[in-house]
Amino acid sequence: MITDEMLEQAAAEFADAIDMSLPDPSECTHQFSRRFERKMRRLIRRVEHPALYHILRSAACIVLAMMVGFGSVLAVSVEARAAVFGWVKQQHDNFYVYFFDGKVCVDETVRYSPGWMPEGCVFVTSYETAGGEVYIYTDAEDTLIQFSYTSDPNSESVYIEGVGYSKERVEIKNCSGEVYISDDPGKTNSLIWNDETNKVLFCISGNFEKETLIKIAETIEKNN
Amino acid sequence: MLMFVMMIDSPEKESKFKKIYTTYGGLMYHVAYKILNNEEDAEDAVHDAFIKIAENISKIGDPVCPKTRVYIVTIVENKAIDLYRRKQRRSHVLYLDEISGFEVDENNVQGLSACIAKLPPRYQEVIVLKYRYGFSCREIAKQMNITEANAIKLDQRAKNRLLQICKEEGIL
Repeated sequence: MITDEMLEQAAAEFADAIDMSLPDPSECTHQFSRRFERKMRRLIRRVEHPALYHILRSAACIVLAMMVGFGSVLAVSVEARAAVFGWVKQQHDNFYVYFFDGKVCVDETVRYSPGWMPEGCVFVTSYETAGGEVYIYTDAEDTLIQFSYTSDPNSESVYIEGVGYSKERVEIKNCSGEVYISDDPGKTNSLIWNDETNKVLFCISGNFEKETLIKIAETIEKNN
Repeated sequence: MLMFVMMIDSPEKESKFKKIYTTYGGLMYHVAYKILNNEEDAEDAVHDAFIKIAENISKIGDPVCPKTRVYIVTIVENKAIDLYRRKQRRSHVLYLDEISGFEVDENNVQGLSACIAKLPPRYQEVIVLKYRYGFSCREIAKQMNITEANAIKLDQRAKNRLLQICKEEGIL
């Protein structure tokens, strides 16, 4: 008969013996591949931001962050805002804030969804927000991909990091937008565009190249 | 890139995981490579192990201590053997004896712990995780990617085999 107490003591002795059999960690150097380092950066981010990951995973209600791309940064002045009826981007030191300037009556909410996603992407969840929706996917490496839109002028202000990204103007179905490519390969890239006619802001964020983001954007269709 | 909500981060948790990565990444690769003999596979096993470590990060105390080190190499050994089995397309069969576990110095083990050293690696892992680290069968199942029922079965088989070895060795 082997009791649990005996096993606990023996397991501790065995664990100590394992430890003594291991080489010194400082002697075990290995240059990990870029692929591995990329995956680890994502995993570290996930460990560092468990709250966000859990929220997205469980489809809890979160504040929608929407972004809009304008061709240029608008001056943050009353005059400048008055000239624009729609989404305005306000530049701060290291981030942008977007908000809707003016009032618009939204009679009905139009729904949108991607018609295509890259191979390996798996739909996780979607949920409604003020005047829009958020779709969450993961790719083969478990990186989060988000498609979101809003047509509600009363929705939350939107924030976007402004440091460490290069911007490029793009056009999506005659709508102007901007693609934000991170200087850090471990960070996700985003495409933001603005349907000025319908006052809808769209955003796709994921670990994709510019071309893939545009390809997804061009398949966005109305559901009703 | 998106700033959705203000996130509550734990700097301690952040530094703990990164510390484990920077301190033991090479050692983990060393353990995995010994089993898999392939660089890419060894890195995959290390990554799989880190996923499990991330899930249990709150249960790890000091990131740099013998207890954590043994836990980490136990997990990476498990992942490497899993991958080895998948590569052999025999994942549904328990070929426990074909891969040797940790080679410990005989002088450092005696009695029951010496008998544990003679167990196949899968059995050693379950014994160490349960009786050294206090994980429940449910927690072990999650770490080994098996069902809880299989973890319970594995624990039972490990103890039966251990008893058999003890009898053969005249320990009990």
